[in-house]
Amino acid sequence: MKKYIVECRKLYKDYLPGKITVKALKNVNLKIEEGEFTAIVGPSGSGKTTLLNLIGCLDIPTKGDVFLNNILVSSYKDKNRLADIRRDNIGFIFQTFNLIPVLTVYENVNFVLNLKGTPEDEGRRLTLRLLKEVGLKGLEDRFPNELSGGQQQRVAVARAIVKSPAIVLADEPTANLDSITGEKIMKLLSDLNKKKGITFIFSTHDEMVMKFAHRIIKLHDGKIVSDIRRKK
Amino acid sequence: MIKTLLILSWKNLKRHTKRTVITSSAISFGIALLIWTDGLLKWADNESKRNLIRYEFGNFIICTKDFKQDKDNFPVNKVLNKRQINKIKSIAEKYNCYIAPRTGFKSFLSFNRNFGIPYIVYAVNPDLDFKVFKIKNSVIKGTYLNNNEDGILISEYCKKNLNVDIGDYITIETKTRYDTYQAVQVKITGIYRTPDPVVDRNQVFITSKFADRNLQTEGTATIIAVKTENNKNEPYLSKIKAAIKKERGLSNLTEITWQEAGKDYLLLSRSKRGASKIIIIFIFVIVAVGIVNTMLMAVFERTKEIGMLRALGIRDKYVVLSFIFESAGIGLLGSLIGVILGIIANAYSVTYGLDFSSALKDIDIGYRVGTIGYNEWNPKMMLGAFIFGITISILVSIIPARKAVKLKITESVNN
Repeated sequence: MKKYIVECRKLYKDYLPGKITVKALKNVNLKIEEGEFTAIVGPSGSGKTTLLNLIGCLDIPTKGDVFLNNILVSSYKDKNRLADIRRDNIGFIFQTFNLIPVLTVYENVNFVLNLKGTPEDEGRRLTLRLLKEVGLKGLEDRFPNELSGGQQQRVAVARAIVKSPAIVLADEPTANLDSITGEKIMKLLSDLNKKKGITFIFSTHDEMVMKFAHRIIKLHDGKIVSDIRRKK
Repeated sequence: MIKTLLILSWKNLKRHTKRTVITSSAISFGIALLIWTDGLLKWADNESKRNLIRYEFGNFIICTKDFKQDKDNFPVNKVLNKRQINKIKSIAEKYNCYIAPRTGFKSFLSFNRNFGIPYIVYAVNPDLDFKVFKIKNSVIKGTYLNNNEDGILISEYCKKNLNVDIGDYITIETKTRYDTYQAVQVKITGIYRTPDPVVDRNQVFITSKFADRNLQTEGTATIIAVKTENNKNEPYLSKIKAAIKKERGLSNLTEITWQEAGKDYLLLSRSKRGASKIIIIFIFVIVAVGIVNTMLMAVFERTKEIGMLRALGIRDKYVVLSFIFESAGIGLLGSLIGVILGIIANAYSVTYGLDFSSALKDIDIGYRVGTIGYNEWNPKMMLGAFIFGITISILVSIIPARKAVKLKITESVNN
């Protein structure tokens, strides 16, 4: 039996930035299996980021349900509960890296484990191991502004997966990187998916990125217009 | 979690060292000002009270009941007679207290037929008066009063006011005990300067012998000032009162404590304590503006980071707490430096004092102090100012800190 990490049912999201309501998502139905490496593609304004935000419990839908590990998270109104869900289950990678500039590479990654209350020794071991895996060994004491864009995104990747989340959401993870670095990052994500079985969902409109995906979901005007699975 | 937040807050404080230092400096300035001003006001208040006793009233005054009712008009006909004075003297001596009989005349002093300037001319017994009052120690030129020589002791202020000096003759115009006008010339034999501006600006002194001959006092006095052994009213006041009650011929007498006599000052003193409150409000404004500004800047600058932290799963209350830690850090630094600066400034003023002569030359600020201002130590205020600085820093940071978590996470992250 297939295990679905994410399930969206009849999902709607409206925004009211001014006087006119923008319908960002319209009746989106989606199931993501555990271990999938899924790309959500589509032009700007198609609803990619909105969908990721709803799956990542960063926003709540106007209508419809979001399930994470079969738990109906979209019904939660308590901010703390949602924060705990994010802390324990979801890793985020953003296109602008969003590292904490006053913390070193090691501290940025380890911070997530501190939030979870991981014992210090174990946290240290996990962090150092992961930094080595993502190719940042020797850079542990550097600050984000001392790193290249690619290195910063590697730190963001390490930070997203160090807590072994159920799912990692990446919003245009290569948009701020040159093509070679972007490819390296995607290779890293792909390898982590294969090795650790982490479920990745990422949004992109980069052809190069799409080629790594096992499944490509295309959005247009807030609706899924195609859902193609490819061989792993 | 708290440890992680503390580390994060500390690193954020170091991130904008200049801003942290500037905000802390504003707090330091306010705290140091509060400590120093409080020390000065405390000294001025205590010194004024000491001077009320030393130069104006002694610990308490014995007078007739009639005089007490009309004391502000200095009635020279409501007197203690010689017999009463002697009885009071022996009662006071029994309790190791000193007495100084005095009669105050509302007068005009003039020199060279110029217009008279109003003064209170006190007729005193020089052999007794110096044991109660410190006027004798305040003579800066010439000599103190002498029973064997007619003369007037005037203040340095009066000297300048009348443009006179030792050896000059000035005219006293007043009413005698029998309500007749009298003008009498007397030689200036001494000039004094006390730290009590009320005395310096209003009082001159002649001997009671001179008054007996020229102003018909005839050995009487309107008041007897009493100085107690321990410089406190009690238990002497109660004992002397009881003794007066027992003694025949003293039933028309009553007492006025220095607190009653100086109640105008004490009322003023109470209102002057409001000055500290104004400074506290002033500091509150400095701290509030500084911290709110710094924290709001931090919130706006770090919108994205805050969004990221919340996306990572940190609860909103911990984000708020991290900002509170930051402002507490600024408050701690500012208060600590402020207390140190305050102590240094206070120590200087305690030791050397500050000369306010030019500022206070012709101004009466109500305190019975001279123009050199000193400070006193007030450890309670120092501790209070330290805690106050930190507490206010924390309290005023709550609003900007809460603002940090008001934005939607999605808006913050994509800021």
